Parts: sequence; C-alpha cells; structure tokens
Amino acid sequence: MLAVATWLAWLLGPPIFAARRARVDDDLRRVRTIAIVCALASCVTAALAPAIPQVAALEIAWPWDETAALGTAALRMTSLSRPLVALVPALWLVTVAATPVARLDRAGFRRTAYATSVGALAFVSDSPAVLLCCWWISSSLFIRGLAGATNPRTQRVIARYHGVAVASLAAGVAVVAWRGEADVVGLGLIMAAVAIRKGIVPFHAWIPEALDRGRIGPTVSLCAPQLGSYVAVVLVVPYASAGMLRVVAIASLLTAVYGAALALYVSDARRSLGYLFVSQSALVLAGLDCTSPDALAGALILWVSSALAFTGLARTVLALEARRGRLSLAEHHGGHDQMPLLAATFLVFGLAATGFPGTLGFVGQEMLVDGAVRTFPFLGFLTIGSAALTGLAVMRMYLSLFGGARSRGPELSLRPREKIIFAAIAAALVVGGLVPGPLLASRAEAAHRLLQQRGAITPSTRPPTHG
Amino acid sequence: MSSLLEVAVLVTCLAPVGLVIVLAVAAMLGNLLSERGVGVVTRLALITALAAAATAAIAFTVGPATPRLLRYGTWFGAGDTVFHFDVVVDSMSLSFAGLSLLVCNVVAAFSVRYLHREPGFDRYFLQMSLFVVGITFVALAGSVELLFVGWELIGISSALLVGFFHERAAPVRNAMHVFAVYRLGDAAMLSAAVLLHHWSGSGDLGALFSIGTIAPGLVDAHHVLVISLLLIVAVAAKSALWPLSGWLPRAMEGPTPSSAVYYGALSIHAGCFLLLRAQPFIAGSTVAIALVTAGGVITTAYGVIVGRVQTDIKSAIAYATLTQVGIIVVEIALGLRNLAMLHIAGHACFRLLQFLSAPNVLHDLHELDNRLDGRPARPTTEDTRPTGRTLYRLGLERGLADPLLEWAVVRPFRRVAARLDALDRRLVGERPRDGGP
Repeated sequence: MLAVATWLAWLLGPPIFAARRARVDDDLRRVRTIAIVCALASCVTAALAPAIPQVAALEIAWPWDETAALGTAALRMTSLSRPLVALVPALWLVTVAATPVARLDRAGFRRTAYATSVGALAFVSDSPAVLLCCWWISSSLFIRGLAGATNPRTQRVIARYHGVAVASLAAGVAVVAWRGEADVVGLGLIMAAVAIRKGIVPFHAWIPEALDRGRIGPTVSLCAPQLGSYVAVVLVVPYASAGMLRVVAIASLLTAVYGAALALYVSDARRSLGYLFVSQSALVLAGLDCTSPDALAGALILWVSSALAFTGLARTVLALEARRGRLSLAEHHGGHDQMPLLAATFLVFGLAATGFPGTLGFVGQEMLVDGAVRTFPFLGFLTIGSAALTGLAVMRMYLSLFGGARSRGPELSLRPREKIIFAAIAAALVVGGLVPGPLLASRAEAAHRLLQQRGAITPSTRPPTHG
Repeated sequence: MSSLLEVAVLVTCLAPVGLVIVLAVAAMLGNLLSERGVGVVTRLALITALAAAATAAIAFTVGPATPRLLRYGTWFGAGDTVFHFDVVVDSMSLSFAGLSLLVCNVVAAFSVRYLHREPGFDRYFLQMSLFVVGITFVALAGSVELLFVGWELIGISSALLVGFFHERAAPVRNAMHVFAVYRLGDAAMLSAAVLLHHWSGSGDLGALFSIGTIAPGLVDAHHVLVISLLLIVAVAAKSALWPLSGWLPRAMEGPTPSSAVYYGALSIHAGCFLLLRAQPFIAGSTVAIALVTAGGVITTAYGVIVGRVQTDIKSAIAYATLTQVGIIVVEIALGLRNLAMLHIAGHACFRLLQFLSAPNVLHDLHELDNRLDGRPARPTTEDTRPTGRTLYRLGLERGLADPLLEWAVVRPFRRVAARLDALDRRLVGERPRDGGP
C-alpha cells in the first residue's frame, strides 16, 4: 500500500505542487523550470508503473460496499491505462516547456497543471463516479480558461456544449446505476456525452471554434488525452449492444471524413487544426466501436499517436503565431530556411496524423483500416478517404506555413528548449512507428481484455502480436 | 547461394534505409554533415545497394532462377493484421531494382555537382534518399503493405522535391497539385491492398504477381475487377495516364536532377511496373484490360498532341515521356510483358540522359544566340485546317486536364465544404466569414 501511495503521490502531486508555486512565486522563469521538473517527475513515475508490482496490479476498493455508480474499485491499473497515464504528464511537459515566459499566464498555467493531475487520475480509475468528477473538473477548468480570450457569446456557447455533456454523463451514470450497466438509455446518455466531448458530428462545432476564437493551450490539454474515448472504452464498449456500437462507429467514420474535408477547406490555421483533431478523434472512436481486435488495437495506438501529433501541430502553430501573428492558410508565409527544424517536425506530426509509413500513426491506421473494413465492408473505406483528405490538409498547411517568400520583419529562430521539445515529439512518433512492438503488445493486450469483457472472445483465443 | 541471395537482397533494401536515417539524424542535429559529407555518404550507400542488387541478380541467375518470396521477419501485427517484410525475388523485380539503383547512382553523382552550394543541398539528398527507399520497396515488395510503403514514400518525396524551391509561389502551388493527384492514387492503392487482404485472406502479393502459394483464381471475377480498377487508378495517378496527366508539367518545377529521376526515368514508370507485375491478375478481367488499353492509347495521343506545342524543354520532354508511357501501358495490356520491361529500361535511360543534358543544351543555345546576336529566323507553318486548329488549341490548354479536374472535383468539393463550414459557424452563433482556399 505504501508503494502505491508513494507512486500516486509522485504521479499526481508534482503538477499540484507546480500550480501552488505559480501562485506564490514571483519569478515566472523559476516557476516554469519547477513545472518542467515536476512534469518530468510525473512522466518518470508513470513510466515506472509496470516495474512496480504493487502498482502494476493496482486495485483500490471503495471502503464501503460496491455500488453500480461507484464501480468495484476506486482506482485500478489496467493494460489500457498504462501508456495513457504517462501520456497526460508528457503532454503537460510539452506545454510548459514550449511556452515562452512572456506568454505564460499564471491562472492558465495553474489550470493546466490541475487538469494534468485530474486527467492522470481519471486514467487509473474505471469507477463511473470518479470519471464523472474528473470529466466535470476538467471541463470547468477548460471553460474558465477561455474567459478573457474569446467573446462572451462564444464562451457561453462552448460552455453550453460542455454543460450538456456533463449533465448527459451524470444522467447516464445515474441511469446505469439504477437500471443496470447494460441499460440502453443509460449507455446512450453516456455515449451522447462522449460524442459532444469528442466532437462527433453534429456535436463537433465547438472544437474548431474553441481553437479559432478561444485558446489553443487549454483546448489541447482538454482534447489531446481524449478522456471521452476512455469513458467510452470503460463504461460503454464492454456493455453496449452490437447495434449501438455500430451506430456510433458509423457516425464516427462519417465524422472522420467530415473533419478531414473541412480541415482541407477552411483558410484559418487554427480552424483547420480543430477539424484535423475532430477527424483524428473520430477515427479513434470508430476503431473502439468496431469490436474487431485489429481495429480496436489500431484505435488504441492511434489514440496515443493522434494525441502526440495534435499537440505537436498545435504547439507549432502557437510557436509560429508568437512570431508572425494570426496565420491564414490562404497565403504562403515562408520561413522554411529560418526554421528548418520546426518545418521538418511539423511535417512529421502531420504525416503521423495522416498515418504515413514510418510513423506511429501508420501502425494504428493500418490496423484500424483492416479491422474497420472487416467490420464494415463498405463504410470501412471511409477511413481511407479520411486519411487521404487529412494528408492533403496537412500538406496544404505545411506548404502554406513554411512555403513561399520569406516573411517580412525579423524572424526569430527557435529557442533550444523548443527545439528539444519538437524534436522529442517527432522522435517519439518516428521511433514508435519504426519499432512499434512494445506499445503494440500493450495495446493488443488491452484490446483483448476489452473484447473479453464484452464476451466476444474467450481467454484462450488471444492472438499473438508481432514486432 | 540461397543465403548469399537473401543477404544481398536484404542489403539492397537496407542500404537506402540506412542512408535516410543518417541524413535525417544529421539534419535534425543541425546539418552535421558538410556538402562533401552528404555526397560521400549518399554515394557510399547507393553504390552498396547497387552492388548488392547486382550480387543478388548474379546469385539468382546462377541458382535455380525460380521466382520466390523471401520473408525477413515481421514489422508489426496483431490478430489478422500482420505486416511481413516480404520480398519478391524474380528476374523482373531484380531488373527493376537494379535499374532504379543504377539511375539513382548516376543522378546522385550528377546532383552533387549540379546542386553545389545550393541552399537546401542536404534537404534535396534526404528527400532523394526517401525516394530511393520507396522505389526499391516498390521493385522488390512481396507484400501489399511493403508495396504501399514504397508507393507512399515515392509520393511524398516527389511532392517535396517539386516544392524544393519553396521561396517561389509556383513550386509550392504545384507541389500541392502533384500531391493531391498522388494522394488519390495512394487511396486507390490502399483500398486495393485492403480488399486483396480482405478477400484473399493474405497480404502477400502472390495473388497479384502469380508467385508463391496464392493462385490468381483465389478471388472471384468481381473481386478481380474491383481490385483491378483500383490498381488502374493508382497506376494512372503515378504514371500520369489520362485524365490524371495534368500534374506532369507542374512537376517540372523541381531541380532538374529530380525531374530526371522522377518524371523521366523511374517514378513515372513505377505505375507501369506495378501494372506489369499485376498484369496476370488484371488479365482475369476483360473490362479491366480494355480500360488499360484505352488508357494507354488515349495517353499516347494526349502526349503527342500536347507535347508538340510545349515551349519549354522540360515540359516537351515530359510529354514525350508520357507518349512512351502510353505505349508501354498498351504493351502490358496486350500481354507483351518482356517487351514492356525492355521498353521501360531503355526509355528510362534515354529520358534520364535527355533531362540531365537539357540544361547544357539550353546553355549552348543561349551561347549560340549570343554569338549570332539573336536567334536565327525559322520557317513557320500554319495549319489552317479546322481539325489542326482545334488540336492546337487543345494542346495549348494541355488537353483541358486541369479544368476538367477543377470542374469535376474541386468546385463541387468547395461548394459542399463552404455550406458545411457556414453551418458549423451558425451552430456556434457566428456569421460565416471564411472564404476558403
């Protein structure tokens, strides 16, 4: 128990500590350095989880009797959770390390740190009540983060989306607790909440809007870890009927194409980024609902890959905006030769989002496409259409942001810290794509466990993994 | 001899991969290699790959000389989706791999001098090395997945090299155009690969190439037709067959050595090579063969008509290349596989020479013009027949390939996307303001 408590303290404590420091410390540079160290500590702690036997088998039961709303355990570490727990502090590390001191906003910084702790906590729990609380807190932090950056009307509209999502999730959890975990109405309400949070058409409009007129940082920290996918996997996929999963998968496949098409059309870099995320996020959900082991494992890989790629793309857009102001894709901004590393890493992030060979996205996409076509012989091809359009959108962004004549005025080069962060994300995507074995094994195990929960396969039928 | 063959084929595949890794790491760490270093590493890797390919060819010829699939392991996989690193070894794959590596060696040696002190020297060689990996994989692929990887690498490196001179607007715009058409081909190729995997239950290319354990008759006639049609689209995009030929003159924006290797010698023939390999499979569908023949004939006519009115040397050579590509496609459709392979090899070498010598020819002509103090008057002939004038206009408009694409694809897409965008904005209480690209 001591080992588990220590591990949890080291996982969840550092972001909270960094947030407290940001409140009392006047020196923003020191605050950021502390935050980087804290994020690294959380990342290392999360990475050590499989090596500590008590943590690897973590399961903390509630002190009172089990109820349907609370679940069997308050905290539980599963094969699904392991990389996701590390992903949340890793994304926070990227955020704090890549943000210049001049643009560091104390309140926003604290909210991102708290959101990191809440996100990491959510991924080590499968209790509906804990997930609901984490969901609500992260949504509240996000909505408060938009204040001041966007006009009140837009903020109100986005808040309404999230209010409905939280209410829907709460109602779903309550109905499931009352009428049983396989109740169609309860699962439908939970799925509606997931659809809003993940931006499944027609509930998607808030994501491009939040990026366009809101703030990129809070939107990335809310969207990139994809808590919605986790809730779907834990609360819906094991119990939902095949018909319900089919409907969700089809809606997600259509959303993937929709998002990619709009990402290709719109002429604002932020909106395009938003639609790219809508498309990627929908692909993940489509795979999760395909109930094919390949599609499921592919979607779980794509989850990690899209989180890294989206964060990288968003940070690149922010880095460019810090130097050039608002970016329109209708013109060419130039500057490839001034920032070759940023241009190259942007291309790598984009190609990973496209599922290009040699990146982690390729592994996920390849398995997802195969599995999706097996489940939906016709509609499965929408994954290919989505990949093709995403590729075009990414190439258009790349050529617009880095191609053309040199922009006027002094062009600031990247700082060493930014270089390291961008290169590290790109390296993670490429190394993960070239040597996907360890991650794939863990994702295939998680997929197998999920299908076992659904009763789709028996324990002895687990397929081998390669790589 | 068998193990020598296996080792040689593996080195042929891995030497270009090693080159990409070295150049990418050097670039990421801040141009660690000098121009000279990049040149030495590139030539070393390419010569090693070429020597290995030659050794593999000799080992194959001296040995039993029967086509076979070599499995070097598994990249990744779980459940039914497994990515095997399978390589096809037969006279055709080894010939095309050898030809490709020979051409790449020549172009690399030429490029070291041609691009001396050019900004982006190392970027050029990195992108070129991606192409070498792609074309080697396409030549030797024994699984649909490996073929797709090679296909994608050719596409991205091609688009990036078209936009190599990124400070000018035209190359950047044209790179996007080229990539869009390639992307269509990639989607068709991936769909064909997935369907082949889905229907035949295996990702190995035996079904397409008539090699190994899977017979062409495994999938039924409808399946053959659908996969063949998708392959034809993929081939048309890569080899610029009509009506997907509009990107070819736009691709001439890249450096001359890359134009030589892509649109004169190898990339433009990659589609033909795939068609050649898949011909036994496609021959299972009369409709598909008829389409291939028609595509070849129309492309040849198109190349002749449009090529005759081009005013710059690279575009003229590109359309001349297209004419020959059309003829090669017809040869493949007629089942003349050996002739087609010979045609590909001869044509690739000839066009390579033409492209690489084009800058010298221009230079010499300018020199001549300067010395003569002006260009000598040439007799002009005017075709006054209505047919001649129509064909002339059609040629000047490049066969209306671009307007057709604009009318059939781009405009409807924009119209639909504009409405959806406006709807999305209304959903969050905003008025439409984004005009789109």
